[in-house]
Amino acid sequence: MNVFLNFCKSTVLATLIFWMIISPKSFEVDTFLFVLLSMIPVFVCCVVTIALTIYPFFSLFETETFDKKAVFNTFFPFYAIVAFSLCVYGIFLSDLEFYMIAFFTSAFMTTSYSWVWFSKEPM
Amino acid sequence: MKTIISIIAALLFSTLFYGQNIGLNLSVFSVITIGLLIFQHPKIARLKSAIVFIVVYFTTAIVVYFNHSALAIFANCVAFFTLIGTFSESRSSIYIRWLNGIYTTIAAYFQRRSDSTIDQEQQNWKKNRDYLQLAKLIGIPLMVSIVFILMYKNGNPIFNGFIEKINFEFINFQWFLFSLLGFFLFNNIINPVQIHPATTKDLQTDNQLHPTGPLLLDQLKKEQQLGILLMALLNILLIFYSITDIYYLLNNDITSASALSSQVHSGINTLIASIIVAILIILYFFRGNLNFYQDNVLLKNLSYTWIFLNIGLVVLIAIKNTEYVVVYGFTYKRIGVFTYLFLTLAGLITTFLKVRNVRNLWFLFRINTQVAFAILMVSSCIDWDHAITNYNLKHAENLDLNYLIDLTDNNAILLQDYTAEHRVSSNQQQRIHDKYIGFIDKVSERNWQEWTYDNILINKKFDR
Repeated sequence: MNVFLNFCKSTVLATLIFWMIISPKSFEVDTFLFVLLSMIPVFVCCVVTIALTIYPFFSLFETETFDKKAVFNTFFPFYAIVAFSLCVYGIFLSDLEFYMIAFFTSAFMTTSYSWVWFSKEPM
Repeated sequence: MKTIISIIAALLFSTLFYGQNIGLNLSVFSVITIGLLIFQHPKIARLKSAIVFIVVYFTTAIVVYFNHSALAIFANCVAFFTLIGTFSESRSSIYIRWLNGIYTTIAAYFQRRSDSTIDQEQQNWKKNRDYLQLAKLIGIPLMVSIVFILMYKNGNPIFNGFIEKINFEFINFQWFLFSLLGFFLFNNIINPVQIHPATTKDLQTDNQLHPTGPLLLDQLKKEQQLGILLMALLNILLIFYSITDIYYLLNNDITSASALSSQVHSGINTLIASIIVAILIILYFFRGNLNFYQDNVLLKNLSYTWIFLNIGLVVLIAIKNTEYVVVYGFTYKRIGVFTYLFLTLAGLITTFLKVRNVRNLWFLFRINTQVAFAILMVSSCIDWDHAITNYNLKHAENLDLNYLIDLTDNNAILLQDYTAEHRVSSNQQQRIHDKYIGFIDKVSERNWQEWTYDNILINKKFDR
């Protein structure tokens, strides 16, 4: 599995979603530099989250008879429901704080896409 | 076609919900959802179970408009997930429908992305694409331009002014993102998906219990002996407890709030413990082959007795709670006790049916989740704040007006009318007046998306 490519794609996606949501509030030309710099912490977040919560499903359960597609179909629905619930809980816990909405939205979308990318990789 | 429908629905979604509170918009959203589902899946929409849940969802949509309570909104959301789950797989159990409904709503897009297969032509095109070159073409000029813009900005005040003038505030980007959310939502629910392993397993599992192997008579006899002894002992204990409880109820005139409260709460605690133990013991003994053992009649009868004694316990607590309500009126907690008692009654009856008809554990889950769903839907139809206030003002022997003032604004008109006809303390009168004025202001300031039945009431009251 090309885990590193998954990390990179997730980082780009998470950065895009996060900045797209917050850009109307705080986006100026100077901010471009911060967008690029923000990719470093976003990359760390993506690596930690994907390596700890998504990759193990594929590395532990994928076999010749139980392919990536089967792993996705079996575990992703529950992962998505739990992740979505935690994200909604986090948003309400932060009292609907704007940046937290952006953070949790990008987290949910990115982790979901990361599952899709893993599931579509050849065995 | 589906994309165009999703885009139109998304625009409607942002028109209804962007920057608005819940009101008429949720009812309209429900109608749009029902319309879309029927339009996209006419065959499923003709099924009996789909019709039932369409009616239920539509009813909750109307209830939201009339009641505007948190319970009504919650019931509407549950009905929404159930309906989506029904369109996902109409033969599944209600809890699987909830799972499918939630999954479809939040992640159907990703499921479809994963399911989609790329044809050979696309694969070749993807292979031939030079990603590195593409990244270079976009990334390097973009980064270099930004660095140079930042440098020139500091070096030239005219250039700096020009750059500062560029702003994209005329574009309501948040509205666009909100519409995108609407698109994502409708795109998901138009094509419901399933959680495959759970749905398949659910469809394969029936409600009937089957023998787990050959009947080992000696082992079953021993197990039955233990069961009979345990159930007999528990029955005797519960009979003794019930007699003392009835005696206490008949011979003590309990009217103080604290005594009634303690009676109800200690009764509820006993009931919770008793029923959990009862159901667990019954489920343990009737988990397998003992159901098919010919001499199990005595154990079954003792179990039925135990269930009916627990129903008696439910009735006793209901009587105590009713006494509490007659004297001090309704509160949410007292209504909660009645709800709990009703759910318990349903649990005991279904346990009885499980033993009598040799049903499995799934039968209990299926039927009890259906009962819980039905109770939620029925209770959401009642405007509880209004009902509690109306009952307490008319019938409660000891009225707690402060409790009623602390309820939501749904009872503001009732309280205001009450103060016009009855004497209340000046402090309470002021609080009721403030609540009423606040309510009128809030209702008057609503946009059409936020309208509820209160708007009509207020308009009528002030003849607008």
